[in-house]
Parts: sequence; C-alpha cells; structure tokens
Amino acid sequence: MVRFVNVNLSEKNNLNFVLKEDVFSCLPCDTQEEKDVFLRTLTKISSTKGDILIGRESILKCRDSVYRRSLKKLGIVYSDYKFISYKNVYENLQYYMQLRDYKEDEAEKTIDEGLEFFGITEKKYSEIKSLTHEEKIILGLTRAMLTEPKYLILDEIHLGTDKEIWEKVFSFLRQLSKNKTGILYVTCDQNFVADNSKYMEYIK
Amino acid sequence: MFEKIKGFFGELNDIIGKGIKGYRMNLFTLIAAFIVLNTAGSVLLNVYKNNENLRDSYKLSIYFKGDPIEEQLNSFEEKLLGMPEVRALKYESKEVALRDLENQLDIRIPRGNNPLSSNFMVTFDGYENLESLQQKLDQEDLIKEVYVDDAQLQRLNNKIEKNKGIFLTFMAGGFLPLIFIIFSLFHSNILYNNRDITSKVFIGEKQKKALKPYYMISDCIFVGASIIGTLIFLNIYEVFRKSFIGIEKGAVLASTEEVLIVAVVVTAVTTIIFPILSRKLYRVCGE
Repeated sequence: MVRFVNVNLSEKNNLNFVLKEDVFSCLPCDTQEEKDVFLRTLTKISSTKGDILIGRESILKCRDSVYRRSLKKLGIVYSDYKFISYKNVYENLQYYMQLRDYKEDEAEKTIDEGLEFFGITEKKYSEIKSLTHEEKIILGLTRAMLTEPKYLILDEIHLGTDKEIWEKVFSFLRQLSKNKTGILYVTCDQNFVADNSKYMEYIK
Repeated sequence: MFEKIKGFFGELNDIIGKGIKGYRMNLFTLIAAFIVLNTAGSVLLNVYKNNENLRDSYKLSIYFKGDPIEEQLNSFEEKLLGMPEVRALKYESKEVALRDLENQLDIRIPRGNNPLSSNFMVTFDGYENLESLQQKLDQEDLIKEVYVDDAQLQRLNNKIEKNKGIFLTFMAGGFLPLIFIIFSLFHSNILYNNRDITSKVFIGEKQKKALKPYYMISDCIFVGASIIGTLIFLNIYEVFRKSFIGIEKGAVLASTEEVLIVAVVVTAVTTIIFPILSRKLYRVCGE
C-alpha cells in the first residue's frame, strides 16, 4: 500500500490516506496548485511537509537507488502526457524503461507487448506530434503500465478526451483496480467527481 | 511578461511545469551579436586610448634663471620626477628652443642674440593637479618663469571630460546591454526546451542529467558563434582601420593586435562565465 502521511498540499489541506491495491480512489483537489504540489512531491521534483511511503519505504527520504526501485511500482499518467518531443513513440517508451533500469532487450520485448495490448503497435515509430489526443492518452497509459506497477496515478486524463474512448479507458481502469492495481485519480474537475461518484472512493 | 522574466531567473524547480517558453538560440543571431559586441569593445578601447593620448598633452614649460650647470639640472630633474603630479619631462636647451622658434616663425636669428633660456617641458597628471604643481614650483629658486597655456589646457580638459562621457555612455548604453542580450540568448535557449526537460524530470530523470544534453548543444553553438563572430569582426576592423588611417593621417586608432587582445578577453570571459552563470541561475538543487 501507499501511505500519504500529512502531505501538505496547501495551507488548509493536509493529505492523509492509504492507497490500497484493489481500490479505485479519487483525490479531488480544490485548486490546480494543490494538484501540482501533489504530483511534484510524488515525483520528488519539489518537497513539502509530510511523507509518502510505499510499503515501508519512504520515497521522499530514501536513497536514489531505492527511489528508482519504488518508481517501478508506481505508474503515472499525466494530463499533458509528458512525452519527449524529439523522440518517437518507441524511443519515448525505451527512455522510460531505461530510467527504471531495464535491460535493452527486456525493455524492447515489454514495449512490443505493451503496444500490442493497447492496440497501438502500428504507431510504434510514429512521431509524438502526429498522434491524436486519444492516442496520446492511450500511449501514456501504455507507458505507465510497462513496468506492471502496483499503483497507478492518473492526472485528470478525461479532460478533452472523446466520450466513447474515455468510457473504454474508464472500464479498463475499473477492471484493473479489481485485478489488484491501486488507482488514484487526481482531479480538480468537480463535475467529473459528481458524475463518477459511484465508481470511486473519494478522499476527503 | 513578468512571469516570463521571473521564470528566467527562477530555479528549475519553479520553471518546471509552468510552461514558460524561451527563445531558440540561432547561430547567425549569435554571430551577429558577437560582431556587434566586439565592435562596441573596440570603440571603448579607441576612446580610452584617445583619452590616454590626450592626457599626455597636459604640459607646462619651466624656464630657468641664467644657465644652470648640469648638476643643478640633474638634481632638479630628480626632484621633479619625485612629485606625484609629474608624469614625464623633457629638457630643452636654449639652442634647441631657438631653433624651434626659428622654424615656427620661419626666420633666422643670429646665434649671439639668443634671448631664450633653457627649459623643462613637464607633462603632468590632469588639470586638477595643476594648482598644487604650480605652488610647488613657485618655491624653487632656479626657476625664472612657469609658462602655462591655460586656455589650451581648459580646451584639453573639456575634450577629455567629453571623451569620458562618451566612454561611460557607450559602456552603459551599448556594451553592457549587449552582454545582457547575449547572455539572455544563451540562457533562454535552455528554457526553450523547458517542455522536454520537464517531461524528463517528471518521468524520473535527475534534473542535472535532464539539463546536460541541452547545455552541451548550447555550449557548442555559443563557443562556435563567439569564435566566428570575433574572426569576422577582426577582418572588418582591419579593413576599416586601413581605410580610416588612409583618410585621417594623424588619427589615433588602436592596432588590430590590441583589438584582438580585447576581443579574445571579452569572448573568453563570456564563453566561460555565461554557461556557469546560467547553470547557477537554474540552481538545480538536491542532487
């Protein structure tokens, strides 16, 4: 499980909750800034008060090698995808795997499997700029799932996504959570929160 | 606008994810910038050299009573050179002074009727030191007269002050802004890649490692442009200098070698300091 202990998102908001492996949770943020603080803290870009623990290991205070190991357990899909513009689809995925200490041949095999699973094999050597928004979301999801993470953090990927595609993605995510992947959906969109309240556990 | 300027000097941590965009550094823009920078540097050097030249023109003449003997002249010379106001001096015997006067007036005067006396031509350090120098000289028994062309010295002083003004204006209005523009071209080039750097850091790359390739490319372009720009400028200066000296025979213009030294110093300082300064400004911390 991932434990968020007194993570200070804003002056009036301290986050305390446990992300379990079989639960689809939603973290509604009051402001965009709170969401940014959460994602930056999680990725160790900036620090705030509090702690985040994966299992027993504190990812904010641990050594670099331990953090890299923890990264494998955590997949993040960003609303603005975070792809590297000058690399193609395959190179982007390869770079991601390289950062998680995968060997080249092992990474290549996993990437091929991932692309096939998500049905975007034909886009393997496509340039990032040639992809549609939906393809980018699916590619983001593919990238996050490559290391078979135990926990998936989603940064309001529903925004701007076609309804039909979103429903497919959403049902896939629900299935995933039933199969022991803890999912945390982070959003500032109050309408989304209201519409999907029956599928998710909300963190207050 | 202010967000952009703020981001320009902010930590990379603050810049990440804010989508602040920089401008792409173009090799040709940078070459042009270095040509203009070196031109500004050479103008400053020439104004400075001109001023130094003019400072050597603060002169007064000391005429002696009768014909002092050599020992007297030597000890007086030593005494004069020991004064802080005196930069240099030149002895002129009364025979030489007469010959100069003959040449000036274009007449011949019989040698037996030389009314002139031997003199020292003293070059002193600035108009502001004239009064104290005169006071010291007034106490000397050996001196018959101290001749000062006050009107000429005033004109000289005004010219030097004017040149100082030109130097400072050019420095503040030309050279320093150019330095800032070149630095911003370099620094902004890293921000131009902000989106990719951000992506790399968010998916797990270390900040310093994420910045490294962009700095390497920037450094190569920057050093290349500075060398090309400086070489082009030196060629232009050489051509300009030859044609200028051809027109103005008495012009004081810095030699190409002197300008080369200034250009090399300016280029070396900018190419060493700017990349370090840029990296410091992003203050990639915690690694």
